[in-house]
Amino acid sequence: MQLYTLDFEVRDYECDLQGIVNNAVYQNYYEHARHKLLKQRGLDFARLHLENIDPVVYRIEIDFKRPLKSGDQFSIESYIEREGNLKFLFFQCIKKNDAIINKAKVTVVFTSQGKPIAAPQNILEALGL
Amino acid sequence: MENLEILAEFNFKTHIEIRFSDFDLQGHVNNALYLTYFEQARIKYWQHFLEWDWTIYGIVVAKAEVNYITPLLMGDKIEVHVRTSKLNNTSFQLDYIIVSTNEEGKTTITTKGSTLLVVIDIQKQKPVAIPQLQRNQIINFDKLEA
Repeated sequence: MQLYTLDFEVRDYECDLQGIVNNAVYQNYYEHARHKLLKQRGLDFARLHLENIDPVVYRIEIDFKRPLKSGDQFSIESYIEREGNLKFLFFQCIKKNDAIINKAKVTVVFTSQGKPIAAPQNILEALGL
Repeated sequence: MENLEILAEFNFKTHIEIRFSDFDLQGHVNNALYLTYFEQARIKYWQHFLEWDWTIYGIVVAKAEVNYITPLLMGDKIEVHVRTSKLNNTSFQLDYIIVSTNEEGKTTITTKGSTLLVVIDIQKQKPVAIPQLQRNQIINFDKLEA
């Protein structure tokens, strides 16, 4: 398991009228962290699309523990595991000063022309799976 | 293909407008938008029957799940069906189903999800029991067991 960590900062426009980061914004944080993880492993999301390979989110679960507020600095930890032939699980966690803000389990499937496919060998090798 | 009969268990649905900017480079509505659609739908759901003073009580998301069955594409028209499926002391669960009608008029269930929501006292910033009036309004609207 190779943990990828990305540092981030809350932007004011991400906070809602309750003064906390809106729940939907965390999915943007998590998605960006997943794409950065892929890039670190030599896989570019936009370039994959041009090659007719699209990783798509099949299921997401997020457990919210604490809120983030304006100006908070935080980090996103991510690692990836394989489940069967088609599914890849990203385990992701947002932390602020070592306190868990929320956690996500994201199931991703590679597709081509809208159909699920087994991930090509070069992708498996890049991901170390 | 998901069976549309499950929609009979929902007493509320609302149209949500998909915006051009909701589509990502894959040509689908980006996965991160769905929680916003759920949020917009539940606000309309509550406005339909619930008296809620947001200056006294807040509602925060404690858990969210989204199952993406098929993608939403340009030209799709969607309705989000919403119901309360569980009422606890300080929290409650809402279920959502997104039904899409494409340009050929074909209707399918594209997405299922749920959120566990916690009621908080705005002043104390602590969870608080769902007020009795609002609990009754939810029970009556969704025909829940008290």
